[in-house]
Amino acid sequence: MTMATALVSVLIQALLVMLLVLLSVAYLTYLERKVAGFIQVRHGPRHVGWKGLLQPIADGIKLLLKENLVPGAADRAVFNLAPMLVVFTAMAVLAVIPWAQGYTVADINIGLLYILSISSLGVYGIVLGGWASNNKYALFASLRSAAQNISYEIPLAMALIGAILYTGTLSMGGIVDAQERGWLVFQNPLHWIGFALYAVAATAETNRLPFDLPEAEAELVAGFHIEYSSMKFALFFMGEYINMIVVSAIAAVVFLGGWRSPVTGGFAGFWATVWTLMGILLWSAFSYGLLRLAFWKKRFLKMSLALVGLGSLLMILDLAGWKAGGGFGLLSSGFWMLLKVFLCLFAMMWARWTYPRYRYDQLMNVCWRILLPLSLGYIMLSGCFRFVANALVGG
Amino acid sequence: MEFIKTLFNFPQVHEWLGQAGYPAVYLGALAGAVLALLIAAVPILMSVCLSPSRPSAAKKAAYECGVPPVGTAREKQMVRFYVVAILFVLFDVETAFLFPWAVAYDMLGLFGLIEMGLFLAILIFGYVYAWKKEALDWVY
Repeated sequence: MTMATALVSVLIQALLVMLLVLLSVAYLTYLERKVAGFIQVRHGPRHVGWKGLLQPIADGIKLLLKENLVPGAADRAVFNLAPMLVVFTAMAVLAVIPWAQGYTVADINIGLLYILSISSLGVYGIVLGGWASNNKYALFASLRSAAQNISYEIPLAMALIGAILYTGTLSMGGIVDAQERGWLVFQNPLHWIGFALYAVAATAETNRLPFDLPEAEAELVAGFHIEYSSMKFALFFMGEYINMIVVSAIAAVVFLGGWRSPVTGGFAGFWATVWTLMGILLWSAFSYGLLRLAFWKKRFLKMSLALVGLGSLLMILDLAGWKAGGGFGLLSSGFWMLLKVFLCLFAMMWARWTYPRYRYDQLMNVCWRILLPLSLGYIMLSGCFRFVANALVGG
Repeated sequence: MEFIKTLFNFPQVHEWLGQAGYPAVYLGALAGAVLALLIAAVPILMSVCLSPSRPSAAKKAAYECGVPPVGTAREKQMVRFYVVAILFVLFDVETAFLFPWAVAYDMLGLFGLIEMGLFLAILIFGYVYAWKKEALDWVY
């Protein structure tokens, strides 16, 4: 094998990941509208194609054929560059996320730091877009958005630092490997705080409701992308959804054990067994909830039965494979990783259609007066716990 | 045929990259960045080629909910945003210190715990000072 072969292969892998993510972004918009419809007791899109499944494609074609408007007073070059910057920063980090066991495009040893640093550049796209529009609403929204995104970046990074103390590596693959005794949230109840902090900060980072101040429809009309139309608007939208996928993937990898199934414990020692039992309990509770929902709303029945059936089957296979000392395989590890990402995404949508929006001073207070001290405390507690555990067990 | 088989044998490619050492592992990240740039640029180019362009004075005016726009948006802004930016710089530099500490924590032992405790204590002192000085208040 030569360097050129490796480069071509790596390019193919990155292209595959990105095309799949683009496709899932299209269907996330569909899912968002369906979830909204379900929560608000209506149907959502259902006319284009079977059950409205062609709706995202129709939307895409419509946006592609719309007129490309640039306001007369706008700064043309920056105005055109901003949406590209948002999509670029969101897309570039997809390469370091492990989507299944051994399936990372680039498992670099600073993976998590790379994701944080690149995706925090995304705020430039929003600020430049809002400023270049030369529109008062857009300018206010972009300033708010800048303040919000940089503020929430601190608790986000700190929640991850508290978790990194336990994994001892920044490589995304390494973080999953380090959770072989059980998911991080099962290893120590302390990490529930970390996970909660991360969930709040990540929701704010992706500008999702209840923290969607940058695009508050009721006060800023549409926020920083008020002057954007056609494909440039679509790019902002895409960037937001890709960012949702990225933060969900980080949550899945760092706190929820990545591609590990709920029962993947080491099966050595007392606590491993307890964690495994907890995993089985968690899966049973999830299945029970899903099936209750499915029997209440009959239209989810087939889908839920398939999901629960496939998950249980894969879990039993995993259990057998682990006992025999084997690996997990693409199917099983990919299924669990994608299921976790999907559940995180669904939780974000659920929150969006359930909670009202914060007021701006409340938003800043939540970050600087509640999340920041909590995350500092989480880091110190996590450090102390780790130290005591190391002292007791002996490294 | 053999070449294509090699291309799609992803685990083998990664094993080879891992053995090639430091810069080679980053090839994937580079490939991701280049493709991300393409994916960001292609839709805009497509839409420029495919969509009609019939601008008019009304379409090019800034949108202010339907009333004619007043002035430009190049105005003075609230100073709170600058205070938040300064606070962010302080705490972000601190997270930059915390990352390597967290990764090397098991190697540092008691020294690492006490050292970071001192560092955070100084930082929390500054944080309390900022709070008392009302730097965190959004509305006066």
